[in-house]
Amino acid sequence: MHDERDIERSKVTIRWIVTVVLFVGAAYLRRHEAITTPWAVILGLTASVALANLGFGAVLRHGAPRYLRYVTTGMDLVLTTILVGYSGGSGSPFYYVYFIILVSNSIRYGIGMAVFVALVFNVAYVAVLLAHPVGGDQTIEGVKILAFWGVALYAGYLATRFQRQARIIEAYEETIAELRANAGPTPGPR
Amino acid sequence: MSARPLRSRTVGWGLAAALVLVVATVLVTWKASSPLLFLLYPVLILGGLALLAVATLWLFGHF
Repeated sequence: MHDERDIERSKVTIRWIVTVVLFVGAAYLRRHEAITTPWAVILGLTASVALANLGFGAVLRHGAPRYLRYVTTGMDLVLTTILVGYSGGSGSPFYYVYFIILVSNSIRYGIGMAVFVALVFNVAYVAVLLAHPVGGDQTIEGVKILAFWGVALYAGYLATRFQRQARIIEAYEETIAELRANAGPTPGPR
Repeated sequence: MSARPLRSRTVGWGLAAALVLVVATVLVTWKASSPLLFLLYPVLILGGLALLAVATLWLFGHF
């Protein structure tokens, strides 16, 4: 529980940084007309992330309920989908943000979270494509979705392995501490 | 050091999620006209695999 609170707190900090970077990037691209995203959407999304982040910070002062990880990650994915949808759909320069969310959450929470992110991404990206149809052959979009699933499963697998190794080391440390306690005080120099 | 034991509550939630995924994906792709919705098939496969896993557990008398 306490670990989860720390993890979510670090996510709040990272979310502030990523939000600033994305806002600056989106504003720059909009000013140079590289994207056609309305200013209202850019400002609205930034304000939404800021408000949500303040809310998450307030919740985390009292603890971290188990469902919170899914709420924060789901919100990140939904807001990213809106940004991608309004900045060119499948050709959006912000498509890579999905990978930031995927990798950062998978490393923290393991395979379950990786599958959750891939699932939400799959549905959200199809929604983006429905709103901004590419036309013609959809093979490339299918490959993009499958590649995302591949990265998700591999990142989740690696994270699960790391978590297992961390638990093994923790168990060794506990055993050593117990043995030391049972052995009594160590003899001093004669 | 070993893997965590699989609790029936976890399996129950897994079964419910798998059913929702499979039924929702089948309904959406069947009813909708856009060929784009076939891109949801990984979701269907995931739901199918989860159902298969629960069925295997049931066959081996986990419950």
